[in-house]
Amino acid sequence: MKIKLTQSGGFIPITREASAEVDWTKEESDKLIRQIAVTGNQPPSQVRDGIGHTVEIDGKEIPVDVDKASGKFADVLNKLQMNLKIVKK
Amino acid sequence: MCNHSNHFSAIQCIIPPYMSQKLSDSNDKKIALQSVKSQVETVKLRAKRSFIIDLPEHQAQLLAPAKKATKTAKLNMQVLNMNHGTNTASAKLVWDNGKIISRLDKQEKNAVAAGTATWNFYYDLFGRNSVDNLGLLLKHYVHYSTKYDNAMWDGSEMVYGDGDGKIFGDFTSDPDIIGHELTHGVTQNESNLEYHDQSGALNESLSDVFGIMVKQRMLNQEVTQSDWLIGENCLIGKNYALRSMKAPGTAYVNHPDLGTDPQPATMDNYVKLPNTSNGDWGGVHTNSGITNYAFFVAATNIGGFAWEKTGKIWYDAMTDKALKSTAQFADFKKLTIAHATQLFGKGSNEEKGVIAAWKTAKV
Repeated sequence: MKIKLTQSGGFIPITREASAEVDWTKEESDKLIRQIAVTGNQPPSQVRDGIGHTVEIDGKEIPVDVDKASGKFADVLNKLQMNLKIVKK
Repeated sequence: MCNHSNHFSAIQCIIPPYMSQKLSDSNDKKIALQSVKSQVETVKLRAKRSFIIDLPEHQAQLLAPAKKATKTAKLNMQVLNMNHGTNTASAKLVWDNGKIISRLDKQEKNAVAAGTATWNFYYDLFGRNSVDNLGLLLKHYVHYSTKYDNAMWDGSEMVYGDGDGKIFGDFTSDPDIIGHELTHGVTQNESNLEYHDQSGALNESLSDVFGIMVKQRMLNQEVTQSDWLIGENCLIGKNYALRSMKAPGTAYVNHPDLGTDPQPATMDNYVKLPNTSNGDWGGVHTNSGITNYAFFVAATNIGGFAWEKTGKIWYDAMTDKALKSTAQFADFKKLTIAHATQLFGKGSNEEKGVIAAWKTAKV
């Protein structure tokens, strides 16, 4: 399955994306979502000009905290973060 | 009890009128004289008060005592080096309220200079003691993370990245960015404008407005001398900046990586975006171009140093308790016009300049 990491926001709104093929089962992708999903899709209460991430996997796009990932999930997300490319507007 | 309808001073009203009358009729000449004198003073004060009440607000303002900040207010600021980490608890303190702890590099010096200039800006001009007006310690964290393309306010502190070195340079290189981030703290402590859609764009715009004035004041620039650019050093390339307040939508055009600046200058070009992280929370950094442009036009119409008149109008509107967290552009427009009238008078050039500016921005 494909996993796409999107980074957005900041002092000027820039969107960056990176994707990769992973051989995870549905149970594993659900585990990742449970591990890193953040509640709702609202900006942290008082952070301004902050950067946010979403992960698209198994047909779902979820706002996430990438720092919460562990094990093999963290490895994949770290690689995706290093490969983020700006989506030109 | 004081029953005077227009009492001026509580002290003057401590002695009720019937008692004053009795004292004035006293056989003791000293007491009678003192009482009569006191009543004469009361009549004078009432007359003065009555005269002031009937004055237009701008004339009454002239008689008001100058705003004085508390004697104890002083810069309370630290600069810390993150050494490319992301855990602020591990940061190294390099500058502490004027004391250099270790030799400062360029980014640290930038944070000291612009951070101090921002604190001075708010204190010298508006008597404001730090972002909360209570002397909050301002912490600037530089060298945040690795190749971090951003600066942000985290709710109590500022963090600045060094940039990737290809598209973005270091985020301390523009004093307007530092002024911008600190102003998020001011807004948080005043109206706390919600960070989405129009209220969020207004929140962003206020940060740009005060950020640009911090830069202009550091450079002693009048409105006609300023480039009105936010982040001109931060975005690498001679013809690029992060935002243009003078001409929103032109800060970067056909940039090889970023494309073209998406900011509109007028309300008819307001960009509707989803209230999500991907949608920049309804375009808070996009639609701020409209209110940025209104400020630029107002400052140009009024002239001089932006912080002297236009900035004062914007500050009074920004800190007005009537500015709700859900305020729309039109709400802020009304407040700026009201404060222009209050400060400079009905029909004044300043009031006309502000009204015309909002008309130009089509708000």
